[in-house]
Amino acid sequence: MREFMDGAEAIVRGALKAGCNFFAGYPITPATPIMLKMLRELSKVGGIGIQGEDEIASIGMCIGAAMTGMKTLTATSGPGISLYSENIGMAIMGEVPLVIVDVMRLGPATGGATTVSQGDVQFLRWVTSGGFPIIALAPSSLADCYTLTQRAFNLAEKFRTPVFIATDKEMVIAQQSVETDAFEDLEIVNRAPTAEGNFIPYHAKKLADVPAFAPVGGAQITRLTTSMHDEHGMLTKKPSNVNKTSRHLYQKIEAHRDELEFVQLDAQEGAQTLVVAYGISARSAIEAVRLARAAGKRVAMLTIQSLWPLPEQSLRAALRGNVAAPAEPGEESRSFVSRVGPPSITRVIVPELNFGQYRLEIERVALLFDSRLEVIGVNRVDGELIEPEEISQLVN
Amino acid sequence: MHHEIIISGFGGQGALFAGQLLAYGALAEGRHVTWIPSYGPEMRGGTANCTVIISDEEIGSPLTRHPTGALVLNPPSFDRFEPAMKTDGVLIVNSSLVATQSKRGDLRVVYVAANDIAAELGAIQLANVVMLGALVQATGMLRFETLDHVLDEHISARHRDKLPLNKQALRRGAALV
Repeated sequence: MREFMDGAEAIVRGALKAGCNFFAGYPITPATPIMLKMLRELSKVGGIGIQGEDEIASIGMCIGAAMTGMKTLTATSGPGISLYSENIGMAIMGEVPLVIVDVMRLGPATGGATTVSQGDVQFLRWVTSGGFPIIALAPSSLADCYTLTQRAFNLAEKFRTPVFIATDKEMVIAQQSVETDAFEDLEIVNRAPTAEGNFIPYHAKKLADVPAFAPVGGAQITRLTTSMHDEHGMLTKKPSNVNKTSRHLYQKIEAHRDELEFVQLDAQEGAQTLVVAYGISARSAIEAVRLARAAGKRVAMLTIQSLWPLPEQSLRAALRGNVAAPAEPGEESRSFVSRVGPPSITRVIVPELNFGQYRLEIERVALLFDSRLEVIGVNRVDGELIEPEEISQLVN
Repeated sequence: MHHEIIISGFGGQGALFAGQLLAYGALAEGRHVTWIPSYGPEMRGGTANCTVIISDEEIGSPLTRHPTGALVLNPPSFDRFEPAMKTDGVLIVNSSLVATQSKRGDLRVVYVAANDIAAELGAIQLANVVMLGALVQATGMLRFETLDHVLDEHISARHRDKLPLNKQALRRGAALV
């Protein structure tokens, strides 16, 4: 069916499809439409939707609800992420699944409430004290808003960790025509249930394993603390326990990076330029690639859907000029098999609405791949979108 | 086809509604469409505008810096968007409020005394619809029957009594082109 909707609507539909049954948030431009739609929709399906008294209370409510087994969503913008930060650390420490939408607007501080930005990319990566890994997905279309929101819930549940949807003002409030029949539904993943017998709340067989879950208020005793704890959830300073918990929180995501790479590669044989883009800037880039190809240039484009962890394997495959094999139904990650031609990429363009936060990451991978590569940023911080011509003129 | 339209006026002049009419009309005719409102403090009294992109192909950016068509409902909108228009663009000016004339020679400019026509029709709120009629006639981007149908479907219950007047307003604007 052909429908007309904004990104907020597509995110909300994705969340409900994924089984989200709890939302708490505090109004902030430009994330408020998500809150309003969630409050409206959850009331229809018997879920709980709350406008909290502030951001700190709202994310606290989400953590509490998630600990009872509910699937929770919250949505805010940069200033709200600042206020969420402490509790996001708590959710990481306590292995609490949350999905957090960051509708980015210009910073710092209250910045530009009504102006688009992608300035929170590294902020989300390093949002917690201690520097632990996080997962962040970035939609660049309505179909992405719908499917990546489901994916965010699946990953949050599977890895018992907060997952961000890093989006922006234009993506969320622009209304667009879209074929909703083409929206992809994912198989829903829920936390592994309580192990039988003697339940130990943070017991993981291997460091990279995710502990079984027992809801607060259920038959088994579970604990949550913001402090370093042993597998029983009891405070500890014993170096071997501390080491184990630290490395577990790190490894449970880092050791699974293969499952966390989501990209779309539009390769072209003999392409000398690779455009790497995410979110709303990918829309400018798609248009730029169309313009460059119409002018007879050869150019490839990699759209990043999983910002964090950085999809390094996919990036290297794109630099080699490989194409992505179509994902099999139910397959979680995509492999790169068919080679288009000999490596031909000499230039990488990274357009983004910040000072080049993601370019730094691309540069690191690209220059280790081939130190002769030229990595160029196209950056705007004036609250306007990147013009396709600003990118296409750099294609060689 | 590919149209990048900006509709701009004071808050309350119906710029966003005119844009939605256009967007739903294009949607009904099977085009790709984006509609994005300006969003901010300017909505309380200053200039409110929206951008509508209509295309046969999938749309990249939902914004435009150089529109191919524009409805300017008030003087600040004229000052802001007239210089930005793409060559050969269609500019519809509300001459009831905008005294300035375009000095560019590369545009198709239609002056519509939209407030006066709307007042004549019996509802000053219809100025936006009168101007939309002129734009649609000048560009041929939509069929008027489609817009009638969209009005039937999307007009709010509060304004339903004005449905026939809206359809008349579209034709009055078109007649000036």
